[in-house]
Amino acid sequence: MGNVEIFGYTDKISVKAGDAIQFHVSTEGTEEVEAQLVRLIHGDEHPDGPGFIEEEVDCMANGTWAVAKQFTQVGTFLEVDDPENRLALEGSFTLWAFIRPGWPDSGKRQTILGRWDAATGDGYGLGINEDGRLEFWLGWDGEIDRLVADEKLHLQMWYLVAVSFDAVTKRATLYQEGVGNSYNSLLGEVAALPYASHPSGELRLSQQNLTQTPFLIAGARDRSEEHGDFVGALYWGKIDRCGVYGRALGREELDAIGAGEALPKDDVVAAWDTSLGYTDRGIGDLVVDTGPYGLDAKGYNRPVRGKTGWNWTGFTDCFRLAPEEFGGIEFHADQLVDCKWPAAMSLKLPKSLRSGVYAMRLRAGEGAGLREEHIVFFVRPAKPSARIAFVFPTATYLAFANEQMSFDDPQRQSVMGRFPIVSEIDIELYRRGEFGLSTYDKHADGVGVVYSSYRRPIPNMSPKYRTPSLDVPSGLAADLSITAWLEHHGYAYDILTDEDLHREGLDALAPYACVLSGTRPEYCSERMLDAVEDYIAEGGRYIYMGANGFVHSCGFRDDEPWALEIRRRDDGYKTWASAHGEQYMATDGMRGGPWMPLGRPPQKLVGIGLSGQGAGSSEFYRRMPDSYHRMSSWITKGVEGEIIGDTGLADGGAAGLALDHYEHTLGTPPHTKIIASSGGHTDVYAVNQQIVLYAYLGLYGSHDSRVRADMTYFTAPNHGAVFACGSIAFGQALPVDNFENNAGKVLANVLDAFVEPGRLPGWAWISEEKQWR
Amino acid sequence: MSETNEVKWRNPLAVWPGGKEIEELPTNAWHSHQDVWRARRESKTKLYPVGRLRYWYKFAGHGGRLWSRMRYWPTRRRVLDVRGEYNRKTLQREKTVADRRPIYWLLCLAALAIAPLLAPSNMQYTLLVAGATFGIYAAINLCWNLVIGIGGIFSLATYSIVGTSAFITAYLSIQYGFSWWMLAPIGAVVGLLFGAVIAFPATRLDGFYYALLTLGLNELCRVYFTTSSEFGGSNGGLYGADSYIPDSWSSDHQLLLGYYACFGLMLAALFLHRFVGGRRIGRLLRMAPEKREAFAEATGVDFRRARVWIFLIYAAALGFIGGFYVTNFGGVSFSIFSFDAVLLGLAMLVIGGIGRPEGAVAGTLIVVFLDKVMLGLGPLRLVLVGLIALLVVLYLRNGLFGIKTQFRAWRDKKKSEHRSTRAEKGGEMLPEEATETDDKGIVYARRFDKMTRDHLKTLVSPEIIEEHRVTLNGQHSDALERLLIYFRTREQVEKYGILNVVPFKNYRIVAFSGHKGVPPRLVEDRIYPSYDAACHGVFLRRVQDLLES
Amino acid sequence: MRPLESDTSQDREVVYRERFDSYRRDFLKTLVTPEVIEEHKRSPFGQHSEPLERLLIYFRQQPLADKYAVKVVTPFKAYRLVAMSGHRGVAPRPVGDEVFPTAKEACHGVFLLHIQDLLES
Repeated sequence: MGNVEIFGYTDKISVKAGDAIQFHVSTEGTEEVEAQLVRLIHGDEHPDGPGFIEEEVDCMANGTWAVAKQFTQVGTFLEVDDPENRLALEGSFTLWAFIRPGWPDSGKRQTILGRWDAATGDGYGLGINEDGRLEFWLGWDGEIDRLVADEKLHLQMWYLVAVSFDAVTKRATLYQEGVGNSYNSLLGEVAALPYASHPSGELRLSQQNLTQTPFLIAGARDRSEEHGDFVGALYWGKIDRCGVYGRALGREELDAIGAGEALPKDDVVAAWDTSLGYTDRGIGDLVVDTGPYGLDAKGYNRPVRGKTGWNWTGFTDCFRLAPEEFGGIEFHADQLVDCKWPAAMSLKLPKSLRSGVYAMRLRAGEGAGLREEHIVFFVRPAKPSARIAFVFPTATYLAFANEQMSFDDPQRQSVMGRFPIVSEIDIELYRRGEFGLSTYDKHADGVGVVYSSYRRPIPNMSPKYRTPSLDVPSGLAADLSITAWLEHHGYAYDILTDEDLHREGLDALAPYACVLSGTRPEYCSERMLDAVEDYIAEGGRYIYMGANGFVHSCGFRDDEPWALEIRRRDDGYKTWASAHGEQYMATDGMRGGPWMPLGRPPQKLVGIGLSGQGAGSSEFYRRMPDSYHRMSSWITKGVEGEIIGDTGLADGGAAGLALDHYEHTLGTPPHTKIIASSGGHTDVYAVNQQIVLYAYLGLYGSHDSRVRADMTYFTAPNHGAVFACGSIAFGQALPVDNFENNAGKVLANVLDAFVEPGRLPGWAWISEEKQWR
Repeated sequence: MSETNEVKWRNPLAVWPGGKEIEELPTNAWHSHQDVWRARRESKTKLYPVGRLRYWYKFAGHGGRLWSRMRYWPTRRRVLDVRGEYNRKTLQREKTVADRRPIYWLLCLAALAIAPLLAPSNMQYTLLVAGATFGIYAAINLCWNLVIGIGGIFSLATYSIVGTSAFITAYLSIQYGFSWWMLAPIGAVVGLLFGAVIAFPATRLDGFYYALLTLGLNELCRVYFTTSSEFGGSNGGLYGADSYIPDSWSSDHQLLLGYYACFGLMLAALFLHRFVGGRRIGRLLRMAPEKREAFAEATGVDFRRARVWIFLIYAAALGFIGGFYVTNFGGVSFSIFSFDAVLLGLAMLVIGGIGRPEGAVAGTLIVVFLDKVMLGLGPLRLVLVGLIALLVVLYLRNGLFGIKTQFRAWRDKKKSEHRSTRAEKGGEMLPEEATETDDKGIVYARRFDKMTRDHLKTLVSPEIIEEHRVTLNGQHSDALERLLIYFRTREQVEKYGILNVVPFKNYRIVAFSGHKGVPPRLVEDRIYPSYDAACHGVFLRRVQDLLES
Repeated sequence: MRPLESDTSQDREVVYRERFDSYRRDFLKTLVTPEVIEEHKRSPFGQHSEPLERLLIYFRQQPLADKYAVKVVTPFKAYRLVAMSGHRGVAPRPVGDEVFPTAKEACHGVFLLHIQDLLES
């Protein structure tokens, strides 16, 4: 092995000093790595800034670690809990399922359901063969016989498929009938492809049931020398209700099932009702068996639920209204929620560890490129100690985790207006394809990715990472520019993450006089939004350090904070859109997509909201008339001239990438003041489509006045206040000229004022104006 | 810009079969809109800090708690007009006293009430006498104000009524021994009769003529009373009437009693003023000031009746004061009819401001102070009174108490003068203007519009205009498209459109109102023979508007 | 290749797109001038003139297979050109062996490759 590669992740993203944390590592080409705990100070290596800075920190775990290559089980399937081997069927049987193939001609075998061991060739299974046809197969010690349907399965069409096997005559009969209606499938009735196929034949043998073979839905047991047991022959697409009978059902009985009538009651071995278990707040991974033995199935890597079923009639668009129509479970062979590698190291963090962004730096050899890995995690203090808190928007990091749009999305270059600049790491991630995708990507079958997680390596959450489509750091690497500025100027601060906000709500923020957001706090669960809103309303001071914040919903399960759910829909920026009826999150029942249509535009919270985005060239801010009002003139005190942020690490200015604007019709508090605004953006910057009703000529930077960043300030009850910067690039303007620049001056003015208890500067200049000029 | 003519624009649709014939058109040399934005690094005028300090205390308001509003029994009037509102800069609730005058009245009246206790002892006599005089004159002026200020009738008969009533009551007291407490009511009756006589001309005569009439009446009374022997034509007045001040009291106490009695009289007059001015009759009269009677009548106000009423009230009150005058001073002199008394009274009203009770009282205070206290100045004091009255008339629009409004108007004038010199036409807002704009989005829109226009102006060239004429609604070059996008995205008010008068024959340019229900207006007489010509006509107008802005 | 993209034999969208692009290429070829190339070299990321913006819009819209990109060798020091595979799991292939000292110059290199392809088509 010439290539040495190191990948790793932690079991938790946010820990307190004194907590234990586990590191999971997989390597290629090396058995040992040098580990060193580091505190991350600054990430961006741009020559105009301070470059990459990390501080080595002593800890028990520093030193050489013995590591190995780990196998990752990618793909989703259901594993049936069958301790008594009820599904080791010996007599006649029927396997049936409603399916909507997502990729029948993938060229690979796909298992719909069965008890099949592909390594030994034992058991039975119903699935889709390499040819895209329905197939029933069974095997005895490697001897395999099969029955294949005559008609190919068509893409994204609902079918009832079944096989009835008579153990006495060894006659197997396949049943394949289309059950599409005007809503539930790709094609409607006007395009009547041949869907039905009913072949029948006598097989030469019957199956051998090994005791250790699991009954799986959407996958089959396989084994290799390298990996040991794993699940292969994974299925793409949806499976709705399915089951097993202990006899061979006749055509009429199956027709009745396909007509939606009650299932035959006799000889049921298992009948999985995929629509059971919905609550208003979503559904978990357990698929309930209504049969006599309670053979419930458990999802692996989170098969996607909250999807429309075979009987969806289009009348309701949410599983909360008619759960029986939402029995569809969608499976993707490239989905990943948890790598489940064994821990390479467990570390109890010192109680005295200073709050900050830390990483376990693993190096092999000279430690460049893929031979160096920063496993990033966030450390809160054991008890809040500082007056300032910086909230790392980890939900947004997760939404973007392992994003591959530069490779996969043909529109990406048009959106960003520039050619991508990819790195060795990007290419390797794309080539391997085993560390999962981001919620911006599509699965290989073209369906958008709904789940992302931090229990897998996330190279684009490392400190030096530059986003290929922008050639600018975003996410963690961009946010470090803000904490580096705090660090440089000697502010004492604690850090928090979105996870803490979601878990603890207001309690996480309440101890702090002033809270700073990251550069792009885009994805927020309801609890996170509530936490910020309550914090401000109860007198907190909030600095919104970026743009494109508080825009989009996301969901977490309480017991699995590492996995985030996103549904995208027609009313937001999106690289894909959830199908109709599938726009509500299975984790918490909330509506997916942006918050604005639910009545929570960001303007209502922080005064400004997304106005446009683009890339390539950033602009500066120029002071607006309100900055001369004595209520707010202290913010620009010490700034020479009217220009703010004419330098920066992100495209050379403080106003760029994504821009937020003041809009009173979207709920900007009426007393908000605009301190400074940018303008003259290039035509790559397009108006946020959420505020566009029609597409017409002129919705671009040089034509539309909405394409701008507004820096705003307003006061809130109980001495609270919000200062909003208005642009993602603002944070990256801070490190220029050794952290001494006009953007930083503005931030320092605000921060110094916000940490002081009591009244804010300018509080007394509140009388009605009587102007002489 | 010599290269301008060499730059050609190619139509991207020309390659399509059936596409436009024109493959190349002359256009402008390209330059970025960012040039304008990047060059503008500071405002063209000096910007000053704005904002007004809250240097007084405001009660925090509340919306959730019950707030009982007290009223003066039995009126509908609230004790203090306190408004609950929020500060537009902080969104905090606050309580604002909308009308602070009651507070000032109370403080001033309280000051007057305790004034005798504070008077220096060597001035005691002068001050108390002057105070009593002030009380009576203030009462007279308040009543006068009823007709001049509220009724809008320029009556100069005030002192003749007071005088007539005084002489008749004094006569009755001296000749027939009427005791003091009867004199004021009798005076009121006399005044009422007098008023009845002069009320009717007031419904017929215009201001100037009525003033002359009443002045004549005043003169008539003076002549009558001075020449009539019954009224003491020989000794300058009638003295010896019964007084309410007991003779047995010490002179200090007598003075004090006089002062407070006159103070009481003034309070009564104030009450009358408030009562009349604030009720239906006052409102009717304010509806019908001089020169606007016809309008008032047309709206159903019976102003004649109201004027007669106010006259009767005014005259009765003055008659009452006349009677009181006699009991206070024990008699009356002819000087009450003199022309200088009328002038002095007028000066009091004018200095304070006609139409306001506070004006009448303050004016009286100033004039009486000068006239009765600054005795050391001699005749100069009258010159001083005249001078003050003159200055007030010259420089103030409505007396001392009109200063506030006048000051605001003047400040507004100064403001617009400053703005017209500092602000660019159609340019960015000044900080002062921004404080007056609630929607800060408009503040930015002004900047954006200015920058865009600065850039677009450089794009207008004969080539572009010719291109529009040729391509019209086809594909356009970058420069032309930019202009068109700007024109299309303007707001609806005064946006041009085309009126189809006769299809395919006759088109005209209109401008939309931008208001529901208001039809567009024709902007010019020109008639275009085709839709295309009219489109180009709109474009030319737009270009012209842009270049002129 | 995604399921709906893999079998294009019956996809009439492709037929139309090919016609559209061939007309577009015919036109875009006439826009390639030394001035336009110079403008891109000077300002690859700013506001562009109409001819340059039209070329860039076309280049950015190209399908991913064989679409050019920049690969960073050493950040802020060395960049090379690659072409995307368009297939998940297949790494981009290197294009040429020129090493560019800045990302800006490398982006201009991508532009020149696109121009070359356009003129050769």
